[in-house]
Amino acid sequence: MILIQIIGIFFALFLLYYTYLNYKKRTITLREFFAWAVLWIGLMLVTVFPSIVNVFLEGFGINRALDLFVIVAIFILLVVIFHNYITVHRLEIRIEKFVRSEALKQVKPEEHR
Amino acid sequence: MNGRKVVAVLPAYNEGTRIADVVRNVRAYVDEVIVADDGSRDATSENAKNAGAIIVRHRMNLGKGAALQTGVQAAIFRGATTIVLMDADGQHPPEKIPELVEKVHSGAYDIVFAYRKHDHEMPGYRRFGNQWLNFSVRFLFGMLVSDVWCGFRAFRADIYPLIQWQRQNYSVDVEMALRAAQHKLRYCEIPIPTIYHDVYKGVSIVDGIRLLFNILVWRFTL
Repeated sequence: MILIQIIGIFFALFLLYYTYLNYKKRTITLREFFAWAVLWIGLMLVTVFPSIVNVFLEGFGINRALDLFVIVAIFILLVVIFHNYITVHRLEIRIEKFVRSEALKQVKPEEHR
Repeated sequence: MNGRKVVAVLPAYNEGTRIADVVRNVRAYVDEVIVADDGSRDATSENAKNAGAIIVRHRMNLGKGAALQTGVQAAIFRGATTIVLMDADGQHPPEKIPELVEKVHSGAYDIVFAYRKHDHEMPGYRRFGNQWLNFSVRFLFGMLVSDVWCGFRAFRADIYPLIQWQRQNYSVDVEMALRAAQHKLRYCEIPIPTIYHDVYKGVSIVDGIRLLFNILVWRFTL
């Protein structure tokens, strides 16, 4: 086993543990925990047995397993970034509406002039 | 009473030292003053209230655009027919309010913009930045304004749905003007003297560059 594989395993184990901690703190649901856990365990399997991705390499016309890994990782990152952007934007709108409605409660209607 | 009600809306953030004087000066020219306190950590709300303003206070700082939105909605709720927007730091001369309002009341214009004369009171880099912004607005939207970033303006309350802005930050002044152009609202300008109290406050060069980019995006999205 080469050094990069050992680093990869420890990295995936750390992320698995971190995901578990967030599940214990109820930051994420059980379903989210399993979804992330599948991803980290998959990462470990690919790190230990890189040959299991060979079946995909030919199909996608990619020469090296590392190239496939980088491409998939970039796709996942793009999805996560977009999801975060949407989530933050939605939160901004909700906060703005809440703060405004609270502020406008301080205004009394005009008395008869 | 002629059925008209002029309300000034002042978005304010940490303007505790100046706000009372500004409110007192503005009150002489309008029926009501609404200060939209954007989560100030000083005595902005208290001082403005003591000076006779109506206060709408954000629990947290959201930005000038959000504060203006809250202030204008409060003004409409209070029965405003004409709304004057101006900064809370005393950079806009209140004695110019009657001139702005008169143009709106004449029926010839829907919205009236003030513009700062590009004299040497304005720092050089701001003069340069403003000219670039004005050029971009002219080139991309065909709108002939001399100071699109000046927040001192008056408009009829019933056009608010047409110019209602989305931006929460300082680009609100530009967005509002561009929405007025988009809906072909009738506008004119009046000159005001340039007054600068705090060069550090307000917008930076980075904000200006970001705004230029936004103008380009608005060209295709508004």
